[in-house]
Amino acid sequence: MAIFNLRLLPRLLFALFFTGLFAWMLWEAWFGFGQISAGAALFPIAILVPAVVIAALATVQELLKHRNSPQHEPTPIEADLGAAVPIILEPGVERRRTLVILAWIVGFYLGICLVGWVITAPLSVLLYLKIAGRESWVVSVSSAILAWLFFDGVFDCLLKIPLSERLTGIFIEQLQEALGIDVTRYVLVPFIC
Amino acid sequence: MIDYLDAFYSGLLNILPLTDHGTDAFIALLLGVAIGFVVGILPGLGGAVTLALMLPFTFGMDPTQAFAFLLGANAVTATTGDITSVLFGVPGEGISAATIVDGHPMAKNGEAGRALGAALMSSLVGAIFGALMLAIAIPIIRPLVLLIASPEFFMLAILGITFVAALSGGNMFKGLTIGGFGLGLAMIGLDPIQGIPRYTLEPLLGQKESLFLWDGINFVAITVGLFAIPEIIDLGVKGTGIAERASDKLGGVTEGVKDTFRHWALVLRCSALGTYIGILPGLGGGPAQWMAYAHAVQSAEDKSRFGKGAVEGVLGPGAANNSKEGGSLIPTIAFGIPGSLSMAVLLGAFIIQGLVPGPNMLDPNLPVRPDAAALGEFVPTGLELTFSFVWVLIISNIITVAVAFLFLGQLARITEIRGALIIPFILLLVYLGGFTVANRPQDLALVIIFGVLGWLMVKYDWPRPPMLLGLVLGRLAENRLFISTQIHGDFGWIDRPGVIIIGVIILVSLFFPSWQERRQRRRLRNADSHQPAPGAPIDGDF
Amino acid sequence: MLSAVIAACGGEAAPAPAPVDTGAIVKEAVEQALKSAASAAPAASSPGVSPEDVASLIQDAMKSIPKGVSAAEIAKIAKDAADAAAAANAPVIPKGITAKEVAQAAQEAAKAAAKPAMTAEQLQAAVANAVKSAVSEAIPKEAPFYEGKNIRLLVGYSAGGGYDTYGRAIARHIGKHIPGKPDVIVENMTGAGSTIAANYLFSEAKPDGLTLGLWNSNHLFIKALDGNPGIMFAGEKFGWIGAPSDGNPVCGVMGFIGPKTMDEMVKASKEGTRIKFGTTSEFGSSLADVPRLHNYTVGTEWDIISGYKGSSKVRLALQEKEVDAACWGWESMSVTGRAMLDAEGEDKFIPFAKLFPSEDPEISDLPLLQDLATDEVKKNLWDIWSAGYRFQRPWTTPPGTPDDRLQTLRQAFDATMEDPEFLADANKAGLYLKPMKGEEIEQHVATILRLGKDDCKALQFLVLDRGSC
Repeated sequence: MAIFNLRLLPRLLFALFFTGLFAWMLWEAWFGFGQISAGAALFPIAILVPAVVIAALATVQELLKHRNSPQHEPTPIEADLGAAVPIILEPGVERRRTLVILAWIVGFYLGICLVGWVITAPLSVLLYLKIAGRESWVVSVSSAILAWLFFDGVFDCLLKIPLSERLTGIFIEQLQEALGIDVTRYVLVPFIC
Repeated sequence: MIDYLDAFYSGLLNILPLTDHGTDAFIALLLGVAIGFVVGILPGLGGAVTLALMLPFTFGMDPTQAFAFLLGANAVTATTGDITSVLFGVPGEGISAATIVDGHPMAKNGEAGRALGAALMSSLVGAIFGALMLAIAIPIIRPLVLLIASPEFFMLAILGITFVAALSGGNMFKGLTIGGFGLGLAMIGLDPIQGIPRYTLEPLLGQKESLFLWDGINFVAITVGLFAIPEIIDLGVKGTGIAERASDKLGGVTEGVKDTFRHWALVLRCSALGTYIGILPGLGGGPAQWMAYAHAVQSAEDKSRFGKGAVEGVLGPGAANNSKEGGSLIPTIAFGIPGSLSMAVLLGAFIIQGLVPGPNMLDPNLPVRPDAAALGEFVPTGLELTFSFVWVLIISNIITVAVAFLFLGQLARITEIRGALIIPFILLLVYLGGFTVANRPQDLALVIIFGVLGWLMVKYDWPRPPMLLGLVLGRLAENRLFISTQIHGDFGWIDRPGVIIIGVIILVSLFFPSWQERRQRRRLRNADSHQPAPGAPIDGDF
Repeated sequence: MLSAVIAACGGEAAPAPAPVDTGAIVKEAVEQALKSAASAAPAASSPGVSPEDVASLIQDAMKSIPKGVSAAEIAKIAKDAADAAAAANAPVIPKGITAKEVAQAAQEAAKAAAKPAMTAEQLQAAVANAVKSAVSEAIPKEAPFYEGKNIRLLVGYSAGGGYDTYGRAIARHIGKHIPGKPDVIVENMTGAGSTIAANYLFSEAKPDGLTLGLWNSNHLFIKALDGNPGIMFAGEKFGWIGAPSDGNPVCGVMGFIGPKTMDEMVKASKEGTRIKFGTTSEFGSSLADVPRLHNYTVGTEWDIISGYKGSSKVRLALQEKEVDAACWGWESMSVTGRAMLDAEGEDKFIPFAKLFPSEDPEISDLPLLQDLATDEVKKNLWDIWSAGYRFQRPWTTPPGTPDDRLQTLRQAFDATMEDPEFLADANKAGLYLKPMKGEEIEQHVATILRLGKDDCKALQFLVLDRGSC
C-alpha cells in the first residue's frame, strides 16, 4: 500500500501511544480497581471510553494527513515554537545535535541521582561548557564556580532547601556508609556554609 | 456608604509612611516585596514555603504590618514569576506556566523586551483589578461564595474543561486526546471518595515508591518538564542564543506596555476571569492561567498566531495569575477557607494576630482586636484592615513593576547570550524547580519523562496546554460530582439554578465560536465570492 | 548567717560564734553533695555533672553552715572539704575539674562577694556562680554530641498546616534545651497522609538522633486494622520523644437544621431526619471515624458524605448548607472555626458531643460520645479507638536511635513544653497544649498495637472493610 511511508512510523507510533495508553487505563479501571469499588471506576470509564475513540481517530487522521508527506519532516526547529524566521539545518546536523542535547539532559539527571546535587551542579556546568560548548577553561571554570555559589550556596546553605540531604546521590550514599562520615554535609557543603 | 469610603481611605493611610504605624507597615511591605520579587523569579523557591518561613517574623508585628509583610511578598510572586517564563521557558512559579507558551517564542523572535513589558504591565493591571474586585465585592462576598456549592463547582470544572477545545489549535482530535490525557493523569492517586489507589503503578514501582503517586501527580513538575525541556533541546540544536534574531524597536519594553493598553478589553476580561476563579476555594492558580490563555485564543481573530509569539497569549495569563490573588483572599478573609497553600499559611498569620476570619473582617466599626484597642493601642477595624490588604496588593505590585522596568531592558539582553553558556544553568534551574515543589527526588523523574514527552509532542504537532487544563480540573470535577450525587442523588443536583446557568454558559461557549465563524464566512462569501473560504483548518502549534 | 557575715566585715560587734565544729559540718555537707552529684551523672556519653548541679549542691552545702562564720572561713572550709574529698580518692569530683579549682573558685567568690548588706542568698549565689563558671570552663574535654550539628525535623504535611505549625513552634525553642544547642531545621516531606515521611523515618533515616519525624500517629491504629498497605512501618520500633497535645474530637451541628444537643441529634436520626456529616476519604481522620463509630455503637443513621479533603472544605460545606454537621479536633475547631462557633441562629455551629472530658468552658458540659453506646462491648470500642487520641502530633526518632540521645531529646522536649518563650509563641499561634512525655506515649502505642482480634474485626468498618485481622 502506498500509504505506508516509513517516515510516518514515528508519528504513528506516537499517536498510537495515546490510544494504547487509554486502552490500558480502561482495562485497569474495569478489571483492576474497578473490581474493588465500582464507584472508583465510574469517572475513569466515562472519560476513557470516548478518549480511546478520539485517540484512535486522531491516529487515523495522522495517517491520512501525512501520507503524502514530503521527504523531510517538520522538525522542532521549523514547525517551531515561535520563530518567525525559521532556522533551517541539515537533517543530519539537526538529528546529531538533538541526540547530543538529549544526552546531556539525561546526563545531568543521572549526575544528580548518582553523585548528588552538590557535586553535579558545578561539575555539570564545567563539563557542558568545556565539552559541548567548547568554551575556554576560564569561562568554564568561572561559570562552574558561579553555579556552585548560586545553587549550593544560595539554595542549599542559605535557604536550607534540603538539596544535599535528599539529593545525595546513590554513589555518595554508599561512600558515606563505607566511610562512616557524612560526605556531603562535612566535606562539600562547608566550603560554602 | 460613607463607612466604606472612610475605611477604604484609612486602609491606604495605614500602610503609607505618614504615621508611625504606617511607616512600620510600609517598611514591612518593602521587605515583603523584596522577598517576593526574588522568590518569584527563581524557580525552585515556592511561595507557600517562603511564607511559612516568614511567619515567625510576624509575631511581634501588629496586624497591618504583618499582612503588609506577608501579602507584599505573596502578591508579587505572581508578577515576577512571568520573567523566567518569558526569558527561559522555565516557570518561576507554578502559576506562571501559561505565559511560556507565547511569551518564550516572543523572546526567541527577539521580542523579549516586549514580552516582558506585556507580562509585567498586564500583571499590574490584573493585580489592581483583583484588588479592586476584592474591595467592591465586600458587601456581597459572603452570599456570593455561599452560592457556589459542590454541584456548581462541578459545572465550573466542566466549563473549564471545555476550554480545551480552544486550546487545540485547530486540531480538534489531537487537542481532545491530549485533554483526555490530562484528565487521565488527574485520576492518578487515591480516589476521592473511598481512597482506593488508582494508576499508582504499584506492580512497576513497588508499594513504597508508588506511595508518591497517592496524592496525584505533581502538576508543577510536569509543567516545568513539559515546556522547559523542549526549549532546552531547541536551544541546544539551533546553536544561537534564545533570541533567534536581533530585537528592533518594535521588540522593546515600551511596545509591550502599549500592547497591554491596546488590548485593554482582553486584559480586563482575563483579570475578571482570574479573580472569579480565585474566589472559588479549591480551584487554585492552575486553572486561572490556562483558562485565561484559552480565552485569549478564543477571542482572537487569527488563532494561528498563538504558540508562535502572539502577545495576547502573554497578556491573558499575565493578568489572570495576578488577579486571582485578590480573588483568593476573599474566601480566606470572609470564611477562613484557604484556596491554596499560600492562603493556608496566611490563615496561620490570622491566628497569630488573634484575628478571626469572618463577618467581622468586613465590619467598618469593630476594631479587630477589641481588647488591644481598649488598651489604647492602634487597632484598625475589620474593614480598614481588609482594605489595607487591597492597598498592599496594589502598591506592592506598582513598586515591583516599577523596579522591574528599571532593568527589564538588560534582562531582555540575556536572550542574546549564546545558548551554550546558559543551557546548563537553565537545565539546573529546571531540575531545581521540579524538585523543590515537594522536596523529593522522584519528581525529577517526572520532569524528564514529561520533558521528553513534551519534545515529542512539539515534534509531531500535538498541543500541550489541553493537558494542563485536564490535569488541574479533572480531580476537582470528579470530587465535586461525587459529593453532589451523595447529597442530592444521582441527578437531583441538576435542577439547581446555578447549575443551569453555568450549563447554558457551557453550551454557549462551545457553540458560539463556530457559529460566529460560520457567520463570518457567510458574510465574506457574500462580499466577494472569489475569496477562498477562510474556514480552512488552521494548524497552530503549541 | 546574713547578719553574722555582714557584721564580721562591716565592723559591728558580732555575737560570739557558737562553739560548733563548723568545719566538719561543711566538709561533710560538701562531700555528700559532690558524691550525689557524681552518682547522678548520666552514662558515659555525657561529660559528667553539669555546672548547674555543682553550683546548686555547693549552694545547698552552704545553707547548712551555722551563723557567725566569716567569709574567709567559709572559703577555707570549702577548699578543705574539696581537698579532703580528693585526698580520700573518692570519685566524687566531676570529670574535668580538680578539687583545687572548685575550692579556689569558692574561696575567691566568697571573698569578693562578702560586702556590707549582702544577704546569705546573694553570697550563696555569688559562690555558686563562680563555681559554675570554673567548672564549665574546665569541662569541655568532651563536647556534647549535638554541638555544631543540625537536627532535621521531617514534617509529613505541608507548610502552614497544623502539623507544620506545631512542629515549627517547638523547633524554634527545643534547640536551646539540648546540650550543644543544635539548630533544628524543619523539612516538609509530604505525601500519602504523612506515611511517606513515616516510612522514610522508619527505614531510611539514619538513627543517629539527628533526624526526627512528625507524622500522623493515627496511622498506628490503621496499621493495627491493616487498612492501609502504604503503611510500611512498625509503630513500636520508633523512639517516641513527646507530644504537645492530645486530640479531642468534638462534634458540632449547624443551627439551621434544628437539633442542638446530642439527644436531639439521636432522636432526629431515629425519626428519619436525614443528617449529613461532612467527612473525608482519608483513613485515620476523626472527620470520618467519629460519625461512623457513632452510627455503629449507638445505632444512629447519620449520613456520611465523603470526599471533602480536610476540615476547611467541610467548614465551607457547612456554611453553604451542603452538609449539616461534622466532627473534628477541638484544638483545630476552636481556632479555625471560631467565626462559626460565635455566629448566631442558623449560621451557628453548635458543639454537641466530645470525646474526652475537658475543662474548656465552651465544651465542658457536653456529653461524651460514648455515653449512648448500646452495650458495654460497643462502649469499649470507643476506649480502644480513642487510645490513639491521647497524644497527637508526636515527635519520633527512627528505630535504633541510641537510648541516651533519645533521653536527651525527651528531656529537651519536656523542658520546651515549660519554656516560657515557647509558651508565649504557642499562645500567639493559638496552639492548644497538653503535653505528654515520651515514656507515656510508648505505653499508649503498645496499647494501640495490642488490638484484639475481635475488636479488630468489629472495627473494620473504619477502613471500609479493606483491612484484615
